[in-house]
Amino acid sequence: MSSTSVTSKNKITTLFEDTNDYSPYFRYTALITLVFMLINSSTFPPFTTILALAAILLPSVFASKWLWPAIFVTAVITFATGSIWTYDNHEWAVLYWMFTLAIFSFVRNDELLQRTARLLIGFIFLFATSWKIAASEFRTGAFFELTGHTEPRFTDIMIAFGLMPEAATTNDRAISRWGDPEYGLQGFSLITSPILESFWIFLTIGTYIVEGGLALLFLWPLVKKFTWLRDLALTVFFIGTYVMVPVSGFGNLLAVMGFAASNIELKRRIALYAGLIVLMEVIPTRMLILSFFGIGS
Amino acid sequence: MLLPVILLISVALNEPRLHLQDNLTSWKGGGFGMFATLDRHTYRPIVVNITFQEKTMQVDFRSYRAAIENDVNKVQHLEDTFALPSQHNLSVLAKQMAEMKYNVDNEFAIASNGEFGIPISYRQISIALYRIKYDAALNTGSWIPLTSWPEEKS
Repeated sequence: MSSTSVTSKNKITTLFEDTNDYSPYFRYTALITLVFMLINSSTFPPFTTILALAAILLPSVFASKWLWPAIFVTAVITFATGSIWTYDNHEWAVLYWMFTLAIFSFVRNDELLQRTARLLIGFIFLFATSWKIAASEFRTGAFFELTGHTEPRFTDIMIAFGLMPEAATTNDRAISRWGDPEYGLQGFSLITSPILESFWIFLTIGTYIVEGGLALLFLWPLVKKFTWLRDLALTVFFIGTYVMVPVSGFGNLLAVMGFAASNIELKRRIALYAGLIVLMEVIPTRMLILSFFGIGS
Repeated sequence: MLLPVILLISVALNEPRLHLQDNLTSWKGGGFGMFATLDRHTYRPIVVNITFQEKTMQVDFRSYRAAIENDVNKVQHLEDTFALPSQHNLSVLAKQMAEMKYNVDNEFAIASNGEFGIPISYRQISIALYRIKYDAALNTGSWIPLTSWPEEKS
């Protein structure tokens, strides 16, 4: 027992403190990315997942400067040979992040890596906000109204806010009929909940404030004593969005990049961002919230 | 060293052009327009008509999906076409659909990759893609034309 403990401890020591000449910042950024890759293994080709697992278990693989270039090249090949226009936007962002780590495996510059992570997050939210400003159906609240009344990813939590469960099922069925040519492309009427009318406006304005605020905070070169605002805003977005809608892939990636972009002290940073991932992935947070409202199984 | 950031910006700035020119859905393509529009690629009904012997008949598109389910390339192209229905992608889809044979069942043409059925040329095919439109004041939705192939010349 004691010899096993000593061996394990040595491995961890090697992994975290004596790996190549990477800084602790890069080592933890790499480690949290590897954990993200294992949690979201369906996003990655099997070979990349095997590499990520090997890197966590074998210090020599973790220490290799070719690890991230190999992961990046494998991901790019898989991406380019698939249905490129059907990849989700966060899968594109994953590629940019792999590219970043591949570059900084060679260019040992923590400050520049931190800035790259910050700008990636900032521009993601800048483009996300720009689309939402440009789209009239988002500006008017129609996006949230239709989605909140029909899409199963939204409707289960909307029931907590007053949507009738039967209405959610009926709406989803009405909108899904287009796949059957017997029905043709008939229009449809939604069974709506008047109690939610102001809620759609609240969600629309709230999204502009949070996403626009994130773009501003991450793109603006804040003085160091205010950089904690970025961590706070990202945490608000993370909890607000991913408790509402179960799409944790993008959230986890933002936690990884948020960790890399953060200026707060390393131990606190690990606690915050690892905590956010645990909140979404390990503890069934969303299910607990739904159960609290008496929704779901 | 900010190459990943430059790459992100370049890809994202290209998306509005593809959106306006080729109807790329904002949910895909690396422009970060997800959760901004209702026009998702999974909410784009397709209507394919084939004309033979001076008669036009709608293809039951589910039969085409079933006929290609084991052909990875055709499935990939179909999914790409729903997300980016450019004239090029639609013409390739028409050519792939012309590789099938068609049988008539009630008022629909049923695609099959078997030996029996009517062979057609891709020039006998027309494709129309639709998108969702929601009127929040009336709580009603409808499907409006998004694009078509062959392209209608005005």
